[in-house]
Amino acid sequence: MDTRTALRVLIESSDLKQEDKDEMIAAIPEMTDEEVRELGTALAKQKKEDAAAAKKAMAAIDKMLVE
Amino acid sequence: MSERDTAAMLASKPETAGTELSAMERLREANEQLKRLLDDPIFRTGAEATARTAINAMIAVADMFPIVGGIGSFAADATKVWAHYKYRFDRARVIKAGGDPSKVKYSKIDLTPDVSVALAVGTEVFEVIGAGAVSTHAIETVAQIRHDLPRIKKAFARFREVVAYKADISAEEMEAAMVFDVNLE
Repeated sequence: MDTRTALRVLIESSDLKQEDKDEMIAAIPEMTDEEVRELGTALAKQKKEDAAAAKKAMAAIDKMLVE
Repeated sequence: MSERDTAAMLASKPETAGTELSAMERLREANEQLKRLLDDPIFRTGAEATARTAINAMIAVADMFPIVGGIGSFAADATKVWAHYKYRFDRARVIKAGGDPSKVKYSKIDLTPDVSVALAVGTEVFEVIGAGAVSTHAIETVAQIRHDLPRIKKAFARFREVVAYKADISAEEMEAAMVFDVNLE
C-alpha cells in the first residue's frame, strides 16, 4: 500500500464528519510527500490512542456492569 | 478554517500546525460524538438518570441539616407536585381538544418521576418527628434509584457498544498505519 492510499484509508476510518473526510481526501493529490507522511502518522497515532483508550473504557465498563 | 487552509498551514509550519490541527479536530470530534450519543434515546435516558441521581444525592445529604438543608427537599417535593398536576391538566386539556394525550411529556423538573406524590409528601412527616434532622429526601432518592439504576446500566452498555466500535481495527487500517510506522496491534 502506498502512502497516499494509506492516508485515504486512515481518513475514511476516522470519526470526522463525512464532508470533512471528503474535503481531506480531495486535498491528497495536492499534498507533498512530507505532508502526506505527517498527516498519515498523526492519524495513525490518533487511531492507536483511541483504540487503547476504548479498550480501557470497555474494561472499566465491564467491571462496573459486573459489579 | 477549511481543511485546505489547514493543509497549507501544515506545509508552512509543520510542527506547530500539526499540533493545532490535532487539538481542533479532537475537540470537534469529541463534540460530534457527544451529540451523536445524546441523540440516542437509551444513552440520553441514562444520562438524565445519572444527573438526577447526583442531584438527589446532594439534596439527601443536605437534608440531614435542619431548616437550611430542608429547603432543597421541600423544593424537590414542590416541583414534583407541580410537575404531577401540570401533566394531569395538560393531558386532560389535550383529551378535551381531541388530541393525542400520549404526546404530552412529563416535566423533567421532577427529580423523582417514578416515585408517587403520596410517598414524596408523606415522608415529610418524618421531617417533623425528627426535628428536621432526618433526611426524608433519602427515602425518595433510594426509591428512585431502584428505577434509575437499570437505566444507567443500559446507558453504559450502549456506551460500551460505541466504544467497542473504536477498539475494532480492520486489517486494512492496520496495514495503512504500518505504512506510517505505527503498529495498531
